[in-house]
Amino acid sequence: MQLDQLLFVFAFLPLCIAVCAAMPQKLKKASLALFSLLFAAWGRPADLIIILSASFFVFFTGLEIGALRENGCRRLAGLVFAGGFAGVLGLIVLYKYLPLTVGSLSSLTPPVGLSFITFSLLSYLFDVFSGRSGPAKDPVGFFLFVGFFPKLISGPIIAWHDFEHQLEGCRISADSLERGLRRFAVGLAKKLLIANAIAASYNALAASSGARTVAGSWLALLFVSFMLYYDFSGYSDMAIGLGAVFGFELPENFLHPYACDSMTGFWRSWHATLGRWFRDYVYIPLGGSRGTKLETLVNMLCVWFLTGFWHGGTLTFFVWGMWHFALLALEKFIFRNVREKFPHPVRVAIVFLLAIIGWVPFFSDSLTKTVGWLGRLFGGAPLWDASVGYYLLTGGAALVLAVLGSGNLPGKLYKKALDRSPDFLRAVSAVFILLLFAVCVALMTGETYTSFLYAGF
Amino acid sequence: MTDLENKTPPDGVKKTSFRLPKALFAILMLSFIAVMDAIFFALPKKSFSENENRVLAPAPSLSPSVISDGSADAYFADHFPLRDSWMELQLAVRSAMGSRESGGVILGDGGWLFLAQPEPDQKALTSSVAAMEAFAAAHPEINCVAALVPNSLTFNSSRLPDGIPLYSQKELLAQILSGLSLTKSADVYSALAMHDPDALFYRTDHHWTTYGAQCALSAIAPALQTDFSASDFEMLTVSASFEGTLASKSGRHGVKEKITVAVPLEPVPYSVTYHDGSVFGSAFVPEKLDGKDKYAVFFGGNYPVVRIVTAAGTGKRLLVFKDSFANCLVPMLIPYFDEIVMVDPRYYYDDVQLLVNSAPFTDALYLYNLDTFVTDTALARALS
Repeated sequence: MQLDQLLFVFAFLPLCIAVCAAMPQKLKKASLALFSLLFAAWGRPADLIIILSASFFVFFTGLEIGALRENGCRRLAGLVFAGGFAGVLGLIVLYKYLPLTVGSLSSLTPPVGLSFITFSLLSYLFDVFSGRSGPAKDPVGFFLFVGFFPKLISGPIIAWHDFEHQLEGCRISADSLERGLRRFAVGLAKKLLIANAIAASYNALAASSGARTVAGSWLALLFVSFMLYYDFSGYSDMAIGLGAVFGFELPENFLHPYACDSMTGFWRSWHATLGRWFRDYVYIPLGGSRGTKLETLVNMLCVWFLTGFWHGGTLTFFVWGMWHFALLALEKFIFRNVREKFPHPVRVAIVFLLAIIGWVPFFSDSLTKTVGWLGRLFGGAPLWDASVGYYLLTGGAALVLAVLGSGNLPGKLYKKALDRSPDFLRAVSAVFILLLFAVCVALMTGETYTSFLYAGF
Repeated sequence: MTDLENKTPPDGVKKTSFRLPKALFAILMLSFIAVMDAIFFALPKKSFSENENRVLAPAPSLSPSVISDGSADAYFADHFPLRDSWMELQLAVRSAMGSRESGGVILGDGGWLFLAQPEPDQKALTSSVAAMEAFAAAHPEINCVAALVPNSLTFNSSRLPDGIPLYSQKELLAQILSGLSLTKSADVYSALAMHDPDALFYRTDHHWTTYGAQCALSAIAPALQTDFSASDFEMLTVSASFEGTLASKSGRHGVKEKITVAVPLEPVPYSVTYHDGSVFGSAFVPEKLDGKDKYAVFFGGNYPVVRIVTAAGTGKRLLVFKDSFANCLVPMLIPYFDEIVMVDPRYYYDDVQLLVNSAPFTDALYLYNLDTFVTDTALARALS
């Protein structure tokens, strides 16, 4: 099941809200956990077995680590932690990386949300081993931490120490519904209205002769840059909104990354929870920037090697990771003072350009295609093709909306207007978002349209 | 008491101030969802979608398998209230956002729909041409003619979105036909180009009209050495409510068109025998006009083999390798051949040589829409 499907929006979600609202407080968590189980199992019940097995494995491992720590057996606790860590890591290696190299495993499909579940489980083990959190005593609450349906598929990533104290606050109120559903509807519109429209234009352009021109290559790059942003940030908005409906504050994941004036700022704003996870569980434990410059560089290299690897096991993701390592290292050690000499808009433009160039290997199937695309960007191809104009026209409106909406200006204007006339703006925005929601319903319906062509074709 | 403290106006009526509910949006959205769900449960369910031309998903069984088999998703989506209206809205929204294509169909001006050009499979083209030439070489007694029909967007460039990337079907045709020497080529492109494009093709279907087929015959008939004349036929309108494949594929509905059939002024008796042995006295199947696929009025659709035996007395026998474009053209050849055998290689798996040997064919015609031909591998397989 996906958050942008008719069955989810019109059946699963309202039923979940109704049941959780009707349940007494002590049963709300359990209700939410049951719905999350159903969500995880929908379409592929076998996934649930893997998710539950991994969750129980880590739950009991956490209890054991906690007990050993309490008894002063830190060394043994470390061994148990290592075993738990290896078990979780083994799961993702089996499903995500071995199929790339072992032919007999190539048809193995990872369970839904495995990459994000891994982060939840590993962060829990780290937190319990380090003493940052005590082990979970309640399996229902723990499963909710792992498999909470709004964040199951694509995050945001939340650590156990940020989630556990929210479990008892699980409730539905008028305020939570208002905040949460507004955010959900806006996220749905970002994904369906903008991301999907840009994706259609990108796919058509990529298959055309226009993609083999300089202008077409830049247009394709702009398309993928905003397609990815709106798809991922739209999903995050939906997840955060749904979490809010049930009284959970999930962390912000996208904070106008394309409006940042430094690569460091970009990575604090793009998939922010991923960056935070690697900082808290890889960079800082390795020593962070507390050591020499060389040690800091090595620590950064580890982070970016793992970040690239986490996104995918192919060389192109490795190249993408190394690109960002190089940019961040240069910014931290070489260009720190040089940056300040440029005006803010120039810094933003440079960061935007460097960030989107990074999407070239990210979206290429191979290093050859990466090099080809980069070459075309910088003049190694005919300048223009009539089809580029066509795709600019057909995808331009979505691209313009995407560019305008990606900065922090709309948010600032909204807040300013809200301060001046809260009721009026609340009413107008409610109607506007409802209309957007209606458009999303139409687009969701459109995704299900299939026609049968006659034998006379 | 001052006026400011006096909460009751002089006429004694208490004022109330209206405040917007704090959860205004939540109320609106949940109410919207509730209404749609109520309609979903209240309204009876259709079993067939006219617009999509398919059977809609039945109600899922109330068993654990509903979690994994997708039946609930399909059922809910297929019977979602006001589905057709939502489809129109999404098409309007996507068009407003600049999209000019839907479901592989180009949305042209004036209600015109065009099938997006498939990418030619050069290997398949080479194989088809080689197979046709080999057939002609093996059967020098048979007059072989190729008639490849460009699709409607070739003749309607003014209705297409500006700058849409297309390859020239005229050039592609020239490239294909340059590979034929033993097989004659009928210049269908030029024959069609001389006429008003509005009448040559349907606006909502990928087929050509009977009039378009008749115009093409001005090039095909001489190649087949027949004295066909359009004036020997009367055009009869058999339906005024035709909505074709492209409307279903794209989701853009609302345009209804006429279907005409060409009937000879001096009819020649004939019988039509299908691959399963059933025999009919007409090339037209009027019952199909009651359904969605009205183009199937011509022979009822596509079949592996259809044999037409006539009382024309011309001594000519025609073997036609075809796709569905031939269906509205072949009835106009009936008065000129004693026998016509239509083979659709996409559905025919027997030995073509058996067919060739079944009658002393004088002519063979390859009649294909170019969109089918450029990716077709069935013809080469059948002829080999």
